[in-house]
Amino acid sequence: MDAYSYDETIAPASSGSPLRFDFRTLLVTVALVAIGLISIYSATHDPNAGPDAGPPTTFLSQLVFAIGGVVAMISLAFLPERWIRVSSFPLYAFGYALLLAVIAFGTVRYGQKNWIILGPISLQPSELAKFGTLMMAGVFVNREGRDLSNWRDIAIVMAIVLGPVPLIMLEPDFGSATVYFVMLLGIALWAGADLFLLFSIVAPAAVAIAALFGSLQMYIALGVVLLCMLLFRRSVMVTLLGFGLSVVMGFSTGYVYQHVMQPHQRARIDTFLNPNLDPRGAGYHVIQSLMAVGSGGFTGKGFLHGTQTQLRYIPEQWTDFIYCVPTEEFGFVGGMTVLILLGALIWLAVDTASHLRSKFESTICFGIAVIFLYHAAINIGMAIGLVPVMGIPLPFLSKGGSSLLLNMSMVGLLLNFYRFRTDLRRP
Amino acid sequence: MEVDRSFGSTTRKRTFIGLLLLIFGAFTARLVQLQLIEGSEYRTRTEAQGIKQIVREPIRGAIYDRYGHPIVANIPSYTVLVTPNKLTPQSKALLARILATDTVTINDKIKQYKTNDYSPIRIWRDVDRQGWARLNELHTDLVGVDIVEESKRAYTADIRASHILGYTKEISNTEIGELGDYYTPGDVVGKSGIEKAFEDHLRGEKGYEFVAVNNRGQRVNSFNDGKNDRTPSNGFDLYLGLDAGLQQYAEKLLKGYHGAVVALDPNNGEILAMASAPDYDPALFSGVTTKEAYEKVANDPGKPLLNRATQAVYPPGSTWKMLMAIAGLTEGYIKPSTTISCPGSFTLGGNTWKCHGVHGLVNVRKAIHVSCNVFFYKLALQMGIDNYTKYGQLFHFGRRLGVDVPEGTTLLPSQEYYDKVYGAGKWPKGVLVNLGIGQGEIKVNPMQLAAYCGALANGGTWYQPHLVRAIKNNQLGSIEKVKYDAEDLGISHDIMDVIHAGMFDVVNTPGGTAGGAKMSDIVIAGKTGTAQAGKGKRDHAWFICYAPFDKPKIAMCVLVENSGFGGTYSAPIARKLIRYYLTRQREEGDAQAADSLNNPNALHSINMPPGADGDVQESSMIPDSLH
Repeated sequence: MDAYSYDETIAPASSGSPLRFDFRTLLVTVALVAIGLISIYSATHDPNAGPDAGPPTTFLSQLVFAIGGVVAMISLAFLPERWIRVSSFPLYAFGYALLLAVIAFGTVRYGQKNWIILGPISLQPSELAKFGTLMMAGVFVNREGRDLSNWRDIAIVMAIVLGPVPLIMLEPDFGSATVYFVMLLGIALWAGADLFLLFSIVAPAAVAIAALFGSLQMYIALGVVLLCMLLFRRSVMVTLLGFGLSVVMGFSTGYVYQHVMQPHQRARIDTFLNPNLDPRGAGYHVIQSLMAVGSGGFTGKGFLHGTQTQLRYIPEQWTDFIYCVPTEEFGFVGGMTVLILLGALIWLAVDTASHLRSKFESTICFGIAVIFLYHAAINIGMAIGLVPVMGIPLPFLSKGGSSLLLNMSMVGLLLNFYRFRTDLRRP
Repeated sequence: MEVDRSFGSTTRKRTFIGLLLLIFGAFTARLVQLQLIEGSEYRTRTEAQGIKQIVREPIRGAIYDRYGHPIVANIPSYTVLVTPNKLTPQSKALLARILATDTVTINDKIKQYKTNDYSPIRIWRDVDRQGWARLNELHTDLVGVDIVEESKRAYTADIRASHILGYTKEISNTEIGELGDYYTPGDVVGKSGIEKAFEDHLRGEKGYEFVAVNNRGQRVNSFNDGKNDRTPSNGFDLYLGLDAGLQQYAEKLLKGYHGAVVALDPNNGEILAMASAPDYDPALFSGVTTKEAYEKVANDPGKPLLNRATQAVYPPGSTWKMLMAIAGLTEGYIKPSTTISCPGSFTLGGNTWKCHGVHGLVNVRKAIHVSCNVFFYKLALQMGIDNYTKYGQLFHFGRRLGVDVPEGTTLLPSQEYYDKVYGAGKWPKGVLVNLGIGQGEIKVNPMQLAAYCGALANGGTWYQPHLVRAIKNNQLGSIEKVKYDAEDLGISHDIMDVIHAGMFDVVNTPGGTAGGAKMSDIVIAGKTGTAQAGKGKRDHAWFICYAPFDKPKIAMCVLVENSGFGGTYSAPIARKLIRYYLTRQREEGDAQAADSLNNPNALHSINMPPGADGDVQESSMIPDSLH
C-alpha cells in the first residue's frame, strides 16, 4: 500500500489552516493579469487620439473583468471545500445547458457560434463547461475504488470529459474542443492510467505532425517513438500494438491531408509549414507575429513603441496574438517574464496537487495545470511559429472576459485547496 | 509497476514537469533565436514595412511687387497619396467616387506616377473642401489612401498680370526629359512667365519624411520623432520692379481694348507695369484646369494668351522719328537749326507720300512736335539704309531684349534684308522713305519701344528691361540683386536736349499731336505714332512718353490696336498712369485702387494666413470633375 491513505476521501474542512495561504500563486496570477492588461492597453489604444480620449474601451472592459476575477478568485479561495465539491455536478449540468443554449440562441463571431450575449455581458459557454467538466471528473476519480487502470473506469472518465465535445464541435469551435482531449489525457495521467497506453495515444499525434514535414522527419519520429516504447519494457505484443498505431497514423497522414481535410484546414497546415507561401493571406498572421516577436530584440522597443503592435499589423492582436505585445515592446525580457510566470503558476499547481490528500482536490489542481500548460503551449507556440494557428487564448493575457474570469476562478480553487496541503508528498 | 499506476505519483508528476520544461525550454530557445540572434534582421523588416519615405514638397517662393505687396503667394491645397500595393479594389472604388471620377482614371494615374508598389505617390492634387472632408470622414475605409496638406499658388485678386507671372502646373513627361533628374511625375513646375523663367529659384528643394504607416498603408505619425527626415528647403522669393497698383490701373484702363502698356523706370530698366489686353485669369491654370476652360481661353479670337507687350509686333510709326533725328544729328546730316520745307507731300520717282499737313519750314524740333513726315522722308533718303539699321541696332531693335517673359520675333530691316527680298541693288528708294517715318517692313514690340523711350528719357543710356529686381536667398537670408545690361549709347547732350524739346512740344505746345496727355502739374514729354494695320483696318495707336520732364521717373509705351490716331486713345491712358505712379492718385471718374496698393509703405506680411483671404479661396475653387 501507499504511504498515503487513499480511503480518506473527504478531508475535514477544519484541516485547512487559515494561516496557510498560497501567496506565491496569488502574486504570480496578479502579475500575469497585470501584464495582460498592459498588453491589451498597448494593442488597443489609439496613438492618434488626444490626451482627453481616455483609455480604450477594450482595455476598460478587460479591467472590469479582472476586478471581477479578483473578487471571484478570493471568494473561491475561502469557500468551504464541501461547497465546491457539492457544486460540481450542478456546474457540470449547467455547462451542458449553456452549450445547448448557445447552439439555439448563440451569436456568431468570427464564423463560430460560441457566444451568448445577454445585454452587456457576452460569455463563452465552453469556458464554463471546461470548469464544470474538470470538477466532475475530480468527483468521479475521488470515489472509492475508482482506478483508471481498468478499462471501465477509463471509459467513464472519457464519457464525463468528452461529453461536451460534440456540442462544442457543433459551434464549431475546434480549438476549444481539443482542450477537452488534453484534459482527459491529463486526468488519466494523474489518476493512474497506464503510462504506456498514454504514450501510445500521444505518440501517433507527434508522428502525424512529423509526417507533414516529410518522410524523413516521419521516420525519425517513428524511431524515437519505438525507442521510448522499448524503454517501457512491455511485452512484444503490446509494444508492437502501440507502435503499430503510430506507424498507421504516420502513413495515413498524407491521405488524410489530401482527401479528408477541408481546403481551409489544409491552408492552415501549409501556412504553418511555410508562412511565406501566402504572405498576404493565410501566412499573414504568422509572418507579422514573427516579425513582432523577433524585432523586439533583448529589451524591446518600449511600452507603446512597438511598431508592429501600434501600427496594427496583426489583426485582433489582443485576442490570440497577445504574446506579441510583451515580446515586441519588452523584448526577450518581456517574453521570458511571461514564460517564467506561466511556468511558475503551472509548477505551483502541480506541486499543490502532489501534496494534497484528497484525490478530488489533487485531480482538479493537476487538471488546472494541464489546461494552463496546453493553452500556453498552443498560444505561445503559435505566436512564435512553432504551432499551427488555432483559436486558443493565452490564459490571463488574452482579451476575453469569460476566459479571464474562469481562469482566475481556477486559481481561486488552487488557493482554496492549498490550505489542505500536507507536508507529505505523494510517492 | 504498482507505483507507476498509483494516483499522482512522483513519476507522473515528473513526467508532467518534464513535458513542461521541454515545451518551455523549446520556447526559450525559439525566443533566443528570434529575438537575440535574428532580432536585428526582424527589426529591419518591421521598419521596412512600417516606415515609408514620403517626399515632402517645398513651399514655392512667393513673388512681391516693388513695395513688398505679395502678388503670388501660397494657400493650402490637399493632395491625395496612394500606396499602390495597399490599395484594395473597394477603397479604389470609394476614392473614385469621392473624387467624382472612375477607377480607370485612378488606375491611369497610378500607372503614370508610380515608381514602385510600396512608395506612396501623389495622384490627385487640389482636392476641393468637400472632397477633403469626405476623405477624412471615410479614412478608415480608404485602405492605401492618404491625404496631405500642401500648398498651391494663389494670385492676389487685385491684379492679374497673367503674362508676367505665368502659371504653374503638373509637369509633363517631355518636360521631365528636358528639365532633368530633380523632377518626378506629378511635380508642379512653372509653365510660363516668371514662374517658368525663375523655376530654379522658386521651386526650392524637396525634402524627405519618414513616417510610420499602419497595416492599411496609412500614415500614423512620424518615425523616430522626425530625426531621420530632411526638411525641404523652400523656394526663393522674388522681388519684382512691378508696381501692383500701377499694374492694376493699367489692366483696368486697357479693359475693352486690344493693346498693351509697358511702363518702366528709365533709370534702371525695371518694369513697373506690363499689361496686355485681353488677358486671362492665371488662377485658371493653377491646380486642376478643366479642358473646357482651357480651350475657351486658347481659342478666344482676342488671343488672350498672346502677350501683346512682347509677342505682338507692329511698325513703330512716328515714334521712330526721334531715332531718325538722333541718327541725322549725330552723323551730321542735319544740325538742330537745319530746316526743310514741307509742302504737305513728298514725291519721288512718280510716287507721292503725304504729310499730316502743310508744315512749311520745319527744323528737327518742330518736325518731332508736329510729326512732319516730309522732314523724315528726306532725312532717311539722305542717310541711307545703313545708318537707319545702325541706329536701330543701337537702341536694340530687331533682337530679343532678354526680358523674363517670351518675346516675339521683331525685324529691323537692313541692306541685306532688302537685297534678299528684292535682289541685290534692285530695291526701290521708296522703301527708305517709308522706313524713315517708322512704317514699312520694320516690326517692333511695345517692350522695345518702352526701353527706347526709357533711353531717350534718361539722356542716352539703354537699360535692359526686366521684371525681377532681387531674389531672396533663403539659405543665406540675404536679398541678392539681379544684374542686367546697361549701355551708354554715346549720344551727346546737345542732341538729347533737342529730342527732349521736341517730345516736350508734342504734349505741351499747341499744335502737338498729344495734347490729350497734358497735365497742369506734371510735365510729360512724348510722341504719338500710328502703325498701319493693313488694308481695311483701323491703324494701331502708339504713344510713348516719360515724366517728369526734368527728372524722368517713368517711361512708357502704350499701344491700342485698331483705334486710329495715337493721341486720341493711347495718350490719355499714359497720362492717367503717369499721374497715378507719381502721385498715387487716380483720375476722377476712375475708382481708386485698394488702399493697400495705394500706400507703398504698407508692406504686407510675407506669408498670407491660410484661407484668410476670401477672394483667393473663391478663385481657387475650380471644379475638379474634369482633367
